[in-house]
Amino acid sequence: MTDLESDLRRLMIAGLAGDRNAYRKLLAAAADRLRQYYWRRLGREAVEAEDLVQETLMAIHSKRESYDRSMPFTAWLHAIARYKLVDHYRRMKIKYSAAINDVDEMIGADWLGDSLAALDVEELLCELSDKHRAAISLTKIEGYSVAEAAQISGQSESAIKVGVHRGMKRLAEIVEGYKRNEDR
Amino acid sequence: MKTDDLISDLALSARPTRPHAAAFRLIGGLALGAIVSMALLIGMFGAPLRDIPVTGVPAFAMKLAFAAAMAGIGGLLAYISGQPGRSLRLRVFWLLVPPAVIAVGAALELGDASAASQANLWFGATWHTCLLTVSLVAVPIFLGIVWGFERLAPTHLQETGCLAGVTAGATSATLYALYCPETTATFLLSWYTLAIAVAGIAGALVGPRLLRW
Repeated sequence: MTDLESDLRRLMIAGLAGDRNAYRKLLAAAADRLRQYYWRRLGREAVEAEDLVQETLMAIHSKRESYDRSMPFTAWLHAIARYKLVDHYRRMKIKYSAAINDVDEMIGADWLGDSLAALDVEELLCELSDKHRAAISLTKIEGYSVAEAAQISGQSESAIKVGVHRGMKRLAEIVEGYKRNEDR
Repeated sequence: MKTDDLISDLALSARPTRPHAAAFRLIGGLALGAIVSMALLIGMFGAPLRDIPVTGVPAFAMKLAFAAAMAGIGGLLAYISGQPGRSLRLRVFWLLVPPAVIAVGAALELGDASAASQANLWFGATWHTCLLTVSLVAVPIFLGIVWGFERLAPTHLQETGCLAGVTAGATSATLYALYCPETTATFLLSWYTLAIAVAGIAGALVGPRLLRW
């Protein structure tokens, strides 16, 4: 850890002084760390993890003068990563709180429920990778068998099964996450 | 866009930066705001420093030193809170030092005064002007500070907003001290401090909106 800290800090200080090579190395190393960071929190399949990596890299760049050269670099990087994660959750909450309220009120009002549920599911599915989304929408929504879904999507049957399993797990995590955010 | 391409683009656009550039930007924003505020005060009250013959130099210096100390401490704390990975911890208590010093003076004044003149010490003749002017004149300074945060990256927006508000309020109080006809530490303790606190609360309320990045 101490080695990583001193390496990154040296690169950052050189980058701030105008050394583009050092700065590129620093950003690449930071991107690796950020990817780990967001994967651990959003799940490896999350498409938004890479978006967050890029957004955070841009923030590192535009706010690089907020780094005090006498302070630990990893603490600075971590604080920015965390801020962007919280910001992401806040945006998601705004986007999804309406859908979740609808689900709560819907239990009982079924004639309206079907169309609203379809909207929610579509929004949630956007959170999944293309393969998982295809697997779930073909088997669970369109009602195809695993073999048919495999044929249509060009994935193997086992890939469809794995996709459904992982995708459903991820959807459950997402919904749980929003509920927890709501409660807070 | 691929992340690797983004990294290349960012690395290519990286120019050398000067050390403490973010601090200079913050000070610049504060100064710009203060210039606008000073112009406002001149428009409202005319030339400054006319009341010094009435109040005497020591009372004038006390007000100026108190307000400037609050502005300095607030600005330093706001700067620290604009750096990701640094936390203020016990440093926030620095903000209590100037009021504590003034409180000693106020206690001495109140101890000497009769019950009837104590109210006079608390309220002076101009508490409403003081409170209103300091709060209003703080607004341009606050906006200047927000502009000065461009290169900083606050991660606790309410805290940073509050400190920016305190700094703006205290800077505003420093400028108002050039006009203030009051002479007592008791007045300073109650109304200057209250006006700075009002600015701090307002800053905490609008901080999350204005300081996002």
